[in-house]
Amino acid sequence: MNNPHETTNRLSSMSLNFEGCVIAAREGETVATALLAAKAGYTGTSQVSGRRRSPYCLTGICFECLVEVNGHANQRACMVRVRKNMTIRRQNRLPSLHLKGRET
Amino acid sequence: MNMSRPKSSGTFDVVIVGGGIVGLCIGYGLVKCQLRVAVLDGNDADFSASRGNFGMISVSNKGFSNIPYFRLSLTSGRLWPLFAEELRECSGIDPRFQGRGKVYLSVGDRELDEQRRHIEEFSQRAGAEYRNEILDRDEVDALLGHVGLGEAVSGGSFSPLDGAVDPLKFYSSLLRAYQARGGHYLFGHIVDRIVRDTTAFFVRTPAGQFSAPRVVIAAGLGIPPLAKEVGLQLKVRPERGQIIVTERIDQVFKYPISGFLRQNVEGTVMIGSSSEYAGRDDRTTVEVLKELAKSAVERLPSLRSVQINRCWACLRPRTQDGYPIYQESSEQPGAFVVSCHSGITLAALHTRLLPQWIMEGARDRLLEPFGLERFRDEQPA
Ligand SMILES: Cc1cc2nc3c(=O)[nH]c(=O)nc-3n(C[C@H](O)[C@H](O)[C@H](O)COP(=O)(O)OP(=O)(O)OC[C@H]3O[C@@H](n4cnc5c(N)ncnc54)[C@H](O)[C@@H]3O)c2cc1C
Ligand code: FES
Repeated sequence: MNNPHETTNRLSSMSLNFEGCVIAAREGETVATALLAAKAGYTGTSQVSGRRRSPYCLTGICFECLVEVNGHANQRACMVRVRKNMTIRRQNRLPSLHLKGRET
Repeated sequence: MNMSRPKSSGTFDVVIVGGGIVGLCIGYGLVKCQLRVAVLDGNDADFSASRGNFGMISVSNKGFSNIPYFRLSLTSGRLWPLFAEELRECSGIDPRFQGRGKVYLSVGDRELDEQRRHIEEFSQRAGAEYRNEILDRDEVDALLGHVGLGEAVSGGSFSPLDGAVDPLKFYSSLLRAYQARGGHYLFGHIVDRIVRDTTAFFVRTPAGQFSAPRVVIAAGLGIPPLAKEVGLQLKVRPERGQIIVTERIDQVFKYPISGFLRQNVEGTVMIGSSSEYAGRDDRTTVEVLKELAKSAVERLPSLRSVQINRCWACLRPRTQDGYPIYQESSEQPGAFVVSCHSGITLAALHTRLLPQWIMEGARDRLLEPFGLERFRDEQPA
């Protein structure tokens, strides 16, 4: 049968680049779970409170897990599946509109 | 949030039905006069414009066809800075008031001409107090910090009369301030009857009964059946508004734009407040949200790359003609009805003027034009 949990549990050779370090990841999981499993520490700094944050609800609701994925800021780590050659950075500032404008 | 535990009964100086912005502003004004006040509010599932609005303090576009309404909004706008400061001190929550003014962006030359004529006519009707200045494209561009205007933007105007608050911060600071001053707030107390004997009104809820010599009905869309209990007939109709909220980005424009585009202090951009009649349906629709997003991008194309995080719809209580209603029952003196379409704009004024009217019976001359008499010739439903 096609059990998604089976897929998640199958260890794969995938890896992520997080702040310059290589982190192991499993196929089918999210960036948030990979970072949590790797004990990667905080994933960003809140621009409102100035405090360090990390994934919390894992369901896309709390926005505590914002990271930069391949240069795109404001990505919820718990909503992004791991892919090959991903570069993840802690989000420590708000993206500026002008920079965003240039992305597209 | 710090809510009082339901009490089964109580005697107060004033009982207010409805714990939205309107009811709480009145309550806050009354507790400041050392009165014992209970606000009876409904449930989370109730329609509540106060928990889903856009947070603009709009003056420059209010009352073109009704100058007393412009004066009411203008007076409230002037009271807002002090009101916001007081709430912040009393509640410890900053409602994030900013009274810098609002930019209006015109799209196409015709719209700019229309805006110019509109402002001239408005100034003539309202006099020197009306302030709104026509600007060319370069001037609005500079005012908005060269954020990058859409090609079709032809210019616009700037009015220093307008302002904004963070809508949720404002609601929570108001509730907290009211409670800090000793006001009772009872959540989940849906009023089903209001009866009167010689000395007092008895306001009944399934959770208990409350009595007071004065009762204020400020229950938004819940007003009509309650008003009937005290001998007043009026219609309040739901007007749906939809809002888009984006991801947080760096502060980009410091003035709200055209009343439908604004950036909160924390970085999110709010696009919104459509207005439609859809009965009591408070769901969002793709067509309306698409229109909102399109108008935003037409004016500021760089917003195209900004992600949308949330959208919602919410119902505004709207009186028959869209203007406020301040009415005491002649059949049952001591019972009051208050409803309005722009409860954020009018909040500072309501806090200041309504307590005096409720306690002393005399409506301030600013409020005078807004009784139910104006609907006398119409057939209430
Ligand atoms: C999308 C949107 C955008 C808006 N934008 C702005 C803006 O930018 N500027 C502005 O000035 N205004 C704006 N408004 C309007 C503003 O939000 C309303 O005028 C204001 O919130 C009305 O407050 P209220 O207290 O009368 O009603 P509500 O907020 O609707 O509150 C009514 C309360 O009464 C309670 N209630 C109902 N029936 C009963 C009962 N039988 N017993 C006990 N309690 C009861 C309900 O539970 C509710 O809490 C907007 C509204 C919407 C929907
Ligand atoms: S952990 Fe809550 S949104 Fe990602």
